[in-house]
Amino acid sequence: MPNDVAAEVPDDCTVFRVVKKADIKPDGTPESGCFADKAADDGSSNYMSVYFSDEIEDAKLSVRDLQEKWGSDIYTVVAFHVAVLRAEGERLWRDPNDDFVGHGACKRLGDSTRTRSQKRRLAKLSKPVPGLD
Amino acid sequence: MRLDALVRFARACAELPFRTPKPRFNVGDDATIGAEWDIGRYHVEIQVGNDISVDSIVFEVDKGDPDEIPLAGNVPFLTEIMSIVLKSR
Repeated sequence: MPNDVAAEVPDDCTVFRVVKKADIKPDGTPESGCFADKAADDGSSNYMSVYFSDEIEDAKLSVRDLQEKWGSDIYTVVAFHVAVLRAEGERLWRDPNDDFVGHGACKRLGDSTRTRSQKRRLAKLSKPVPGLD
Repeated sequence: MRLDALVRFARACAELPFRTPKPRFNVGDDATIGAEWDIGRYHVEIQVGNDISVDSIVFEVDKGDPDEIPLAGNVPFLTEIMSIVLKSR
């Protein structure tokens, strides 16, 4: 996906990542493995699925709706600012799907595989979304 | 995840000191398996995937920048790091 498409997501937009509640540690930090791209050989898009707040708000939905779509008994949601992810060497673009509004993609610049320490950095930078079950 | 990757993961875990606490295990969407420990000031994790080039050890002190080295050839280093971490408790 060309970088000019990534520029369509504003820096101040919030990026949501759905993670399993079981993968949140007692200190509130997600496990590093939560921030992996999908496996390349499974026929999927080979990126980390995210959701953009501006589209969710435009659709008059909320992050709670996103959590409930995935199943609030199993999943929760953590957040980043787009600018933070870009500063970490991630690129983002919109990739709508039928599951929920605001779906997008996050992948390393240059399409490299995210290393374990890069995943760890994302885990530490992610913020829990307040008010979720 | 391929069997040889699971074997590499098991071999690395088997070399950890006896008193090593149970880690948090995680399987990523990229078909990697990870184990991580938060012990006092230290954070240690390992990752193994189908591609051996992604096998790694991550070590971090006081939530600073994580350092990463390949797991291949460094399992004794992982053992040594964990020994030091456990002695610090």
